[in-house]
Amino acid sequence: MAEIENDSLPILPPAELEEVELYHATNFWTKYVFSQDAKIIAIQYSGVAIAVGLVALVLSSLIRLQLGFPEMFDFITPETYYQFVTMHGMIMVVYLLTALFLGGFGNYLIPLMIGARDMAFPYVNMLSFWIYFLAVLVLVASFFVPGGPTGAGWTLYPPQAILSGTPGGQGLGIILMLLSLALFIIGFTMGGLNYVVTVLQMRTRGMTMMRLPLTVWGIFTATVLALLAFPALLVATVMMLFDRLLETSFFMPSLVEFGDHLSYGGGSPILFQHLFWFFGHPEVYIVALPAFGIVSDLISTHARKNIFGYRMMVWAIVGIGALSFIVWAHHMYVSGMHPYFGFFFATTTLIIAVPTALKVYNWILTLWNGNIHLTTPMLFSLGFIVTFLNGGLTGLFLGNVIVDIPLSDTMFVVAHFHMVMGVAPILVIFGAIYHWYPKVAGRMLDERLGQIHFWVTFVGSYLIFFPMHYIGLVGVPRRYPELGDAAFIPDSVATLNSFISLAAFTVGIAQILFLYNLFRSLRKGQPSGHNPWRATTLEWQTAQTPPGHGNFGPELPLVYRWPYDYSVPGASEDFLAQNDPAQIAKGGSA
Amino acid sequence: MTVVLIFLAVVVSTSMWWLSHQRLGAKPWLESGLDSLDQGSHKVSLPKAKVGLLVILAVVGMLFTLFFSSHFMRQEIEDWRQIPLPSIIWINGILLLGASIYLQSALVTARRQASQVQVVGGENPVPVDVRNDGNNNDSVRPLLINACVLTVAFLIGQVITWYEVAGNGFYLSSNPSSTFFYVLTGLHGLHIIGGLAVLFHTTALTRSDTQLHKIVTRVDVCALYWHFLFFIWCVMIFVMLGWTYDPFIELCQRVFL
Repeated sequence: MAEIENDSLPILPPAELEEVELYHATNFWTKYVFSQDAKIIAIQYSGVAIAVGLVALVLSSLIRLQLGFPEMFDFITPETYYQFVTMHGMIMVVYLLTALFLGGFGNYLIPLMIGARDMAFPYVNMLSFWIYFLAVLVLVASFFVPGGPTGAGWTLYPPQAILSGTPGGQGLGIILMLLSLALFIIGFTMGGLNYVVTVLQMRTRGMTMMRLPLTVWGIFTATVLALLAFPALLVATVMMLFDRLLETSFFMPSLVEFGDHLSYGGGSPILFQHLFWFFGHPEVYIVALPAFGIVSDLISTHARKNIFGYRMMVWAIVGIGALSFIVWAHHMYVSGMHPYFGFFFATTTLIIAVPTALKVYNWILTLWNGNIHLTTPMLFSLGFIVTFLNGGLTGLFLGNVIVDIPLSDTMFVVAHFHMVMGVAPILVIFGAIYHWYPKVAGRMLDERLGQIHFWVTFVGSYLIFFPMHYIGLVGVPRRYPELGDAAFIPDSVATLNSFISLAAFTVGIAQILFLYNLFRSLRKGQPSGHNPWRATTLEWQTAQTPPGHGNFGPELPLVYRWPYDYSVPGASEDFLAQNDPAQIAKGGSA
Repeated sequence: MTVVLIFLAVVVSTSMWWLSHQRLGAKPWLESGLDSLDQGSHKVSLPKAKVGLLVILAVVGMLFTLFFSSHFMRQEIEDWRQIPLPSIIWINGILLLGASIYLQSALVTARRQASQVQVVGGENPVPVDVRNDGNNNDSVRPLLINACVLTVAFLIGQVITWYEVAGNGFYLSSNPSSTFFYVLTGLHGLHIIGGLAVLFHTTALTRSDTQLHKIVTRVDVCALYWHFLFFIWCVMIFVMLGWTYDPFIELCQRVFL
């Protein structure tokens, strides 16, 4: 069979794909604003995500102002502090990280990396962005309504989230928050549908699943997770909106507030926690899996070495994805659950460390004896591995019920999740931007500014979050705007808090450098050429840079090999692009 | 959350089954060449729209399963009072089932006609003008219209059900049981309305001469969606009638919990 197919090769069409009807933009509006081109949509997604992320960055500085220098700033009251914390968390997790990884990188990279002209359903893809944009507008609007945004904490636990004691609880704040989340989920589902179907159906000829770059594997699996996990948040938000607006009692127990017996009765706050964390835990991996994938590609390219254990990497991504759905209750150890329940979830939590550790080993083994170029993307990748490892290790502490209970709701938890799903994925995002910017803009980002940006961000993040673990171990609780004179808190905590705040401001200011670099290089960056990193994957093999409408030339590329043929002995260059038909005899080593 | 996990297990095992056909054990670093990894089905041999629908069904299924799961967790709290459902729901069920059957027969008809076009073409299929080839679309069209009518009748029936339940004194926030009734039926109705938009469009397409294979895919997608929503409706009624208190279900709950 195989021989016959090879004989008939020249007659075969370039790709076994359905005829793609590309949408052709006719004017400025349909080309750049209501665009159906995945690349434009990607830039729109990224732009909005980064813009709203900057708001969250400012909020984090305000949080640190209060924690580092309590009682010094009159405009930060306990209420505003809660609002800052809530909005910072929600924006960073959902509106920045999820949107940027899937909406931004997903839209840009999936079609280019698999050799497709565009997404499967471009119109739905456009709707996806605009609904996301609307969600962001609704979210930002909540800053400007009477009572301000919600201050319920990013987990929005009822009953407090919709009671008058919580900022925004009886005003519009919580309503806008819930509406915005519902919109985000609807918009995301439209985008996610595209990413999944595109990967399944639109791969070019020769691009089998086992030849996909790990970036695509990561984004693909994360999208599947998100499609199945976000409905849980949608259900929770819809139910809470009913509770808040129509006085139903899904989550609200019988309550007396300021002497008034509220009309609620019988609802279960624990039900909300289950729904929220059934979304919330996979969310960690929705952010982490694309980061895993991207970092694998960055390391392989910048160390000029094939990825170690490609198969294991794929299996680990899929395995982590599947496992991430049965660990959610490890966020609820202190909710009064049955001890055996806790035991079960502690076990699954520890099991998930196995494929994760496997990935870390494989990255290190990829670096081993590699021709490591310490470019900015590589630095950020190395920073990611270290940071993720650190954050993951404290995860092992928190995953065990008996260790978690005393640490629950302390700054240790804050330090842990900022390391593992705050700093680590952000480092990958920076690395990825330095890596793919030349493809998007046709010009390199400034390397020297990039190195400064990396070192300040990386070292600064450690100065922020490493001491925070110790503050947590002493027993300092999270979500407290002021610590007061608690006997168990030594004076040194206040000093350390001021130090952390100073580090945080430095890191925050360093991001201006990054933004400056982004804008300056648009005009003044060095022209990058088509393939500045000499990478193998298809997005670097396009005829134009930045890729034109339809991504590739008149014919789609044919894929002859896997994406990690670096430093192949006998090859004329130190890399073989995926669409390079050269036949090189290869040995059996991985 | 047991129900959710069961549903999730179904979705995950389906995905794993599909993945297991993707040569996950291949050693891509050793194999170069265009087709060396290509043997076997490397691509889903379904139209894009259908794959898209399957993804949507997984998401919608998850959404309803989560609501059912919440229903189970909420009904264990003592303030729960089971509301009686009016008997008109059974008529509604038959209407939706009828729409589903009409869509299935429209699909069968459309497929048969499409295959006849293929036969006419023989080995080199010549695109046959559907309009001149007998009255192809005419036989699909009435079936689709019937499906539309029955579905709209179903929606009207659901609204009447709401009025009857409210007439019995069970309003949205009277009891969690009635809350779930309105929320679940409302959500289901919204999904039906979304589907109807596509079905109307498809029906409109059959009026003019369109290529038959486009109709087949569209009818296929509609039919599958309707079967799915009918199935969801059955489960929903089953859950809302409180039949989950049956000894058998209770036993199941004990075993799984």
